Amino acid sequence: MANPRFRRQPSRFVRLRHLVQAAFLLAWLGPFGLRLHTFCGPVYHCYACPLATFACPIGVLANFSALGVSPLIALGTLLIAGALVGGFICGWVCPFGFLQDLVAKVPVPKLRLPLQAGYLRYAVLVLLVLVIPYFFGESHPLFICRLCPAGALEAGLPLAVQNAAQGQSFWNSMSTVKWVVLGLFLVAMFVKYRPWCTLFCPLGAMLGLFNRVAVVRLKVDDRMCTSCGACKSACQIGLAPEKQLDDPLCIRCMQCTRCDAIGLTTVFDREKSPNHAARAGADSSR
Amino acid sequence: MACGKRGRRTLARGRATVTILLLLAGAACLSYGVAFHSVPVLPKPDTSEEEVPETPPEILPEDEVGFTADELFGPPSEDAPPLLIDLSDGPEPGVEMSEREVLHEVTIGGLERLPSGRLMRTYVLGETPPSFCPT
Repeated sequence: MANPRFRRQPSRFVRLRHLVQAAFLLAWLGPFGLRLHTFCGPVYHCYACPLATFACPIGVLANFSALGVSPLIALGTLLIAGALVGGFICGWVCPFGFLQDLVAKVPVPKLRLPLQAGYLRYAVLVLLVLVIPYFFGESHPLFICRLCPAGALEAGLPLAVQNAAQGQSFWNSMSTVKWVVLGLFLVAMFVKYRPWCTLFCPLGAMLGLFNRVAVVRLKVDDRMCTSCGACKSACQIGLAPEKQLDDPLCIRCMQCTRCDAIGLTTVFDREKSPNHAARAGADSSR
Repeated sequence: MACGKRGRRTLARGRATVTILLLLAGAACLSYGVAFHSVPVLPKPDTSEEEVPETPPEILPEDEVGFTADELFGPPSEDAPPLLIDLSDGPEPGVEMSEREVLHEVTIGGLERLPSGRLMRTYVLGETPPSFCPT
């Protein structure tokens, strides 16, 4: 039976999301030629990209691990960003996520993997970002930057094009491994929703842990929820929001807020109906 | 029911406390990293102007010299100081580099860790850094 509280049309938040992502893209892509590489951005964007404004926090963590230096700036940035908005970074701010969102709009049947596959992200974080760089240095073939599809797409590909324009070899601009990773990733984007974010992203793995305690978060109103499962069918990640609202895999795409029982709240709100803001937005958009 | 409400309130309060602590920890890390944290970095030795001998000096094998070091000086005693001193552990001139500078150097592949654990620039200052894409 259809849930009368569940709207067919996306809520105002969902419609805003791509606009916000596009706006943030301008910030990450070096407006006015800014290259503030002495600071980290909270998003997955390779600093070798010709337009990158900030340094990639994962690249910094891995390289600092290889150097044996404590990455306080990167940690501080991630702690603040995570504690403020948690997974909203992935869904609303990250340029690499935005790209995957756009490609996912191509109407191709999407593969759904078990949610447990998301734990792979922690293996990537621990092994490829922290342990291997620390013990074997950045020259190890499993060093995260050597396998990163964001680096291949945002930095390697422009470099290859630049080299080709200058009469040098296009294919020799990146290692074979990176070309293969890039190819696999480009295909995967079409057949799986956010393949990097849901399976491998070490940054998302960290930020997702903050979903439970972030200042801005989602909440289910138990009095309104009828457990109809409509929110689960709306979730592109495959979560059941009524039970897994704070799951580390949640990127806060807000598709589940089509249901009035789920809405935005802050960690400082107490015993209030969660959906004041969301419902107000929905009402005004109806 | 009342107990459930109280429990929920306690949970919410605990959650808010954790959030505030995380924010404070993040602010502390960021401020300390930006303002105070620094690491010593060795400059890359500039070998461009050094005179390198074309042929290494000849070292005669011991049988051609006619005697060995032990015959000349006697066997080394256990109390004797080591003949080779590992200079890599001693104080060496290095530049204190702030974490922001280290962060910038990292983005251009400008630093490497020596086997001794110290950091060294991979290029001579004034020259072009290795690349914007170290990998």
